[in-house]
Amino acid sequence: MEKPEKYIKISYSLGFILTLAGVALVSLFQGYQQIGITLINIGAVILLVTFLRARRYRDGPVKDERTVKIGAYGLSYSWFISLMVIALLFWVEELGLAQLNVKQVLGILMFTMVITAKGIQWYLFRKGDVE
Amino acid sequence: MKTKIKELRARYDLTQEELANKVGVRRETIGFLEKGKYNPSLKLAYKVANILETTIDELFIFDESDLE
Repeated sequence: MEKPEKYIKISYSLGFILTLAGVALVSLFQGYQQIGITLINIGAVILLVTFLRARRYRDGPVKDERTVKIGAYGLSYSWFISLMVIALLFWVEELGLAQLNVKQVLGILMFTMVITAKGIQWYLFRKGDVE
Repeated sequence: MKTKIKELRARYDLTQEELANKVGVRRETIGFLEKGKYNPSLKLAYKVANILETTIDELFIFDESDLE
């Protein structure tokens, strides 16, 4: 039970620190409003997710060897798919099929990485194991 | 892979949740173990066998096809 409690404490601490840093930036420094608001939002999301996970698994561990294994495999597959997407974007640009700017490429990559990681993890969690 | 976890758990009158807490895993992991859908680490297999007062080779039954 030691590890999950530690994980929850670290997540709560991170959420509080980000939220406080965001509030400090917004209230004390001019010109940092957007960064401050972004930090407050990220902190709030971390706090909410941690609260929900802690409540859901209050009688047992949040993570175990199966969930850690599935999480890692999900990220590995997602990394490989993202690499394929990068190669595809390269050829799209190289062959002149589309003109992409940095913002669009980063947006596509962030979307691909998050969606594929979560999608693959969801599938593996339903299946039970990675084999 | 087949297991005798469910059978032995019933003998000791343990719920999946109770066994999971004793072993230190999520309840779903015990569920997947019972269905033979999850291959546990040696450490987890040992912990489960120890709590159910049996041995690993009695708890987990492998077919030839599982080993291929």
